[in-house]
Amino acid sequence: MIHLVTALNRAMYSQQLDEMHVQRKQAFIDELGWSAPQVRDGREFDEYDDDDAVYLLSLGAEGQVQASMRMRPTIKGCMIVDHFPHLIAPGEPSPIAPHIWEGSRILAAPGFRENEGRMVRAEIRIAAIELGLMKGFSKLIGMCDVLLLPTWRNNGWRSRILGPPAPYAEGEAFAFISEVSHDALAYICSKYNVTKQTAFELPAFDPPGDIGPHEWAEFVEVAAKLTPQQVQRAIGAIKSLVAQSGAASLGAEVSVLQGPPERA
Amino acid sequence: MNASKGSRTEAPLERAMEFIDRVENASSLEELTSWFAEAVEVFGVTHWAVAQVADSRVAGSLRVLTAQQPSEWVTNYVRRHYHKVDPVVPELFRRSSPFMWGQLRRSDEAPTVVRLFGEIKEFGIADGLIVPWHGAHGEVGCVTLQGERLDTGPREMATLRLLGLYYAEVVKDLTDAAREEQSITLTKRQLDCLSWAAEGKTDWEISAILGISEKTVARHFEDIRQRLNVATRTQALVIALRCGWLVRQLG
Repeated sequence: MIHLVTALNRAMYSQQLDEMHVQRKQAFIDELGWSAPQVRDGREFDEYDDDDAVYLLSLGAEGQVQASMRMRPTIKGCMIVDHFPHLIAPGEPSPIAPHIWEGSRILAAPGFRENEGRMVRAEIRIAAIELGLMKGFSKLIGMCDVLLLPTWRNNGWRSRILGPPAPYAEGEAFAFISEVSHDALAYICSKYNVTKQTAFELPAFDPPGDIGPHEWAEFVEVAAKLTPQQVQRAIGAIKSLVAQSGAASLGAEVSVLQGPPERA
Repeated sequence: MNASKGSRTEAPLERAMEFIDRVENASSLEELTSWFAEAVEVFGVTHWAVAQVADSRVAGSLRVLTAQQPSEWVTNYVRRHYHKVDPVVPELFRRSSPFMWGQLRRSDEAPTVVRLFGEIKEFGIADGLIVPWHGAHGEVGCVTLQGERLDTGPREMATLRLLGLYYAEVVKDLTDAAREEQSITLTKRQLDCLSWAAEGKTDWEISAILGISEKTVARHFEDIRQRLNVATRTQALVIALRCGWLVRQLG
């Protein structure tokens, strides 16, 4: 399951987002030697880490980040157009359009980069298409290091390369555009034998008080099994419970989620 | 090659894009290779090869997946097991960025390495770009791109690298598919005949070496041609090299 982390539900994922920024610093700056991005306190950020960003997070049983990617509408600013416009061939239409989102900072944590992380990485790519069907975009663009071409070519996205590659940071990269549609989703799901929805978006929610990692994982695990409407109702129930009893713990209220009568 | 001098910077990149746009639709190795030839000639590439030196299961094996090289040179390289001493090979496990193989020459080379480079020169093979290839299924190998007047601008090199990797991947897919489809094998004797032919022996010489009649040798070649569905001995040789049969045999 891939969590869609938006500006609205971000408060529930503060710990995971922080972990993602640490992993990004370790991978992109320490391992790949990128120099452009900003580093604060051992965490990597850039100007596109704003409220328009939707983060796709693959989380383990205890809520740890296994893989991540950032998606943004290109009309809210596009990294390729701003920083790597030469990757787009002259005849190509501008990727800044309402139906196009950009994927960037795609990353697998150590331990998920080889074969053992194959499904985790595939779920991120599946969730990106599901996100498109939810938010209404029909194309996604991104950049890829040339050295990754062999695996990129078989990654389940139906893509087209937008222009000749060019040197960047420590390597060479090309830009691509991929199809986002029900067809594209069916294609990648059959390739990886995935039959269930992969992306999960927690409704807007301010957690009541501090949440331990275990409570958090328990809450999300239960929430993920419910429909969005059920989660919304359960969250309302938790909030009123917290208001009545003054309890500041989420874990104690997880049971509210577990037995809703409408769970048909 | 007399490429348009004025549009030298634009035209090659456009040709490259054309190749990239249609590469996945190649139906045969021959078709793919003719597209590749068109795409790379504008960068000054006249000769190339795709070789695999390891896969996820076997390290140290050599498969020449395809080669636009003098065939005597390829068989010579394979026969002498040059992949075991070629300084390019260990670099393929260390690097992912392309490099010119001429850069690997050192003053304290072993005699076999000196001989290797001497023979490269004798065969008239120009210095070239080695594109390390780390394939989607654990393959380790390279694409070599050679030419007297190779275009080595940063953008051109990046494009050649992308073209080379695409070519290698699709070549691998096509040869694997063809091999599975046909699931052909040759007998030990047939491979004997083929490997001696690779060294330039005549039917009569092969018959003397193997202690069989010249007629039998001719019949082996006829069988080989039928099994591999090719018209000439050279085509059979190319298939055998691509599938790695001859390496095992010569080893």
